[in-house]
Amino acid sequence: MEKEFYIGYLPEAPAAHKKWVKKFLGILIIAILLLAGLLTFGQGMISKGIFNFGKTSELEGYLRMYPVPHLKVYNDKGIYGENLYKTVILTGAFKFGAEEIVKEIFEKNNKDLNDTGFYCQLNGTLIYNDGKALFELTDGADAYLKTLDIPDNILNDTLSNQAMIDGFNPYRLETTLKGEIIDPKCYFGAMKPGSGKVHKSCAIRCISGGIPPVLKVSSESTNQYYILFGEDKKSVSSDILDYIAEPVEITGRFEALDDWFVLYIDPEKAIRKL
Amino acid sequence: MSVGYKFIDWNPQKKKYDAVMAGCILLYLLAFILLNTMMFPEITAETLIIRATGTLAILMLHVILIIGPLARFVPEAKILLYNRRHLGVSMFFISAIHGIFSIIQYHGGGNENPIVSLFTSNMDYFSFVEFPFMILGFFALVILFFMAATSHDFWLNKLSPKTWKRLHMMVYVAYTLLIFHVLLGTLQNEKSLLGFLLLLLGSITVCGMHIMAGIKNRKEEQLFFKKSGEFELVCRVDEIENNRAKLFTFKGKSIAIYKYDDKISAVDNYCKHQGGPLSEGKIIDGCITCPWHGWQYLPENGQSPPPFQEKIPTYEVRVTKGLVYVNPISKGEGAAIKAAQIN
Ligand code: HEM
Ligand code: FES
Repeated sequence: MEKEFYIGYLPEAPAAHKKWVKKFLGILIIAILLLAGLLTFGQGMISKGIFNFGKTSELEGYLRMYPVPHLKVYNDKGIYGENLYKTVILTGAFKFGAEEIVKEIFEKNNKDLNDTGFYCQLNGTLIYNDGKALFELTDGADAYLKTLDIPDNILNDTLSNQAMIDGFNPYRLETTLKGEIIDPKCYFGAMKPGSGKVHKSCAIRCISGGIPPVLKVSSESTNQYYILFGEDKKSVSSDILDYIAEPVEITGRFEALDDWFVLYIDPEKAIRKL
Repeated sequence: MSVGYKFIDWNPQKKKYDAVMAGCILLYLLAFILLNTMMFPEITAETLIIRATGTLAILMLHVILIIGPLARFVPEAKILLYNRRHLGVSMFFISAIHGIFSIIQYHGGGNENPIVSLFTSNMDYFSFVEFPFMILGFFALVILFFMAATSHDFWLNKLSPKTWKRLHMMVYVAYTLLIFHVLLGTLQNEKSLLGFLLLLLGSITVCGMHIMAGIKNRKEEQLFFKKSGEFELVCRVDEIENNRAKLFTFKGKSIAIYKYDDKISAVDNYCKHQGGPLSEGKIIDGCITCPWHGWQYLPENGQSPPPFQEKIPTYEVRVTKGLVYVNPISKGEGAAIKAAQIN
């Protein structure tokens, strides 16, 4: 009777092969461990940004629409006893901005978007790193908890009370800065990496989805962050999509917004690729 | 060249092969994840998944590409070759996890369909450094998908081995795409040169081994064509089963000696497809049929039946007094040699 047509290799490998395979496996295992190590260390730095994913918290402060939806939050006393505030940038869920949600909250409170805002408590997820914070509002309904009276320590703070009022500042200085346009939600915590080439298309998605564009200007020791905004309260997001996550030079007039800067630009002429 | 497609079946060796492969995959994943969570406690699960599977997939691809030429130099390495498809299919699944997670992470949850976003978010198609590297990975994944999907012998027959082989040669296209996927992606974000050096080392090894194997093949052929040798005694005619072969090795040459229709023919033992052992094959429909994936060759000239064009070296055979003699110097690939009559 004819043997079965032999399939594949022998059921039992010849002794010489077995020996060789054992040696090969030994080398392979060492190589696997070595490469796992090298590829881990080769990653360089991973951003320390934190996104409290799945953990919501409550945050109260002055809710304002311009230049970007944000909550101005009391942080600490300064050296002259003045109040120090943080501007916490608000974002929507995933790759969306908070504009729609904040608009709804304004409507609910019968406030005009151009108003200086009002004091309220919001619910969301904190994102923070490098001294800056963002707050992801999960959903229109859940995000808004209640409107509050302005606390006394803020109301009575004569030194920095003025900062609560969004007055037009005629003294904005013109400046030219070199840096990279990032989307702050990913950069400060939601994603690793949250900037650079790898993250470029995500940043384009986020910024076109309404997350405010921020110019990161790095010096040797620190980074400074400039929220990009148009003159006349106009967003520049759709005009700058081509320049994201690349070295660029931007000219505009800047002013401080608590711990951030705002750079007011004319997107037609302000940006140049380096 | 179809003879049914049930050639590949499970056997203990294959099970062992797969178990070892799964073990190695797990070892790498565990080591990578453990080291990362220790070194970078801030790393997120998505990034960890994307990076662990991405790096694992490209490592596996290097192994897949290197064991082919390796087997030319180290005959024992053929044992790694014969079940290489499982390695390839596993590699596809691992890189699919990487690709899908990347698409969700970088393109999902936005104001555009993630697949559309993959192609339209970064539009720097005319720039080298800014090129949208993810689509390189995407096209590599598409190639790997077609290779994995057609890896079963059913497709080898359905598509004809020639088309099948052409499709599977696309692995080199995929490899090139992936080199640039990494070069224009992750490596542009890293300040350290380590990743770049590893990638360079990997691609030099792959290219170098292929070039060396090519040179070796050519040299061997030239060597065998020059000399005209003596006939060597192989075995008795009745030691070979009908329609089967016996393996004869002589000075590093492996020759398959076939008995069929009261005739004896000798061809190279090495299948042109993936180096399967032709001496373990069988004559089906008058053709020597490789046990691995069913490629066929005519015993009297080592050529695949038309329209196929593969050719393997043939050897002169003589039969006297029930003994088989073979001239271990080949007459060349596809050279017609009259079979030796047994009676
Ligand atoms: C749709 C297909 C793909 C997409 C969207 C994609 C996306 C990405 C992204 C976003 C990164 C950067 C990750 C980081 O630096 O954190 C990356 C890196 C990488 N990809 Fe892909 N990729 C795809 C296909 C593939 C395939 C098929 C392979 C096969 C081996 C692969 C291998 C790698 C490797 C080795 C890296 C660098 C190491 C790492 O960070 O993981 N990619 N890919
Ligand atoms: S090695 Fe695949 S058919 Fe011979």
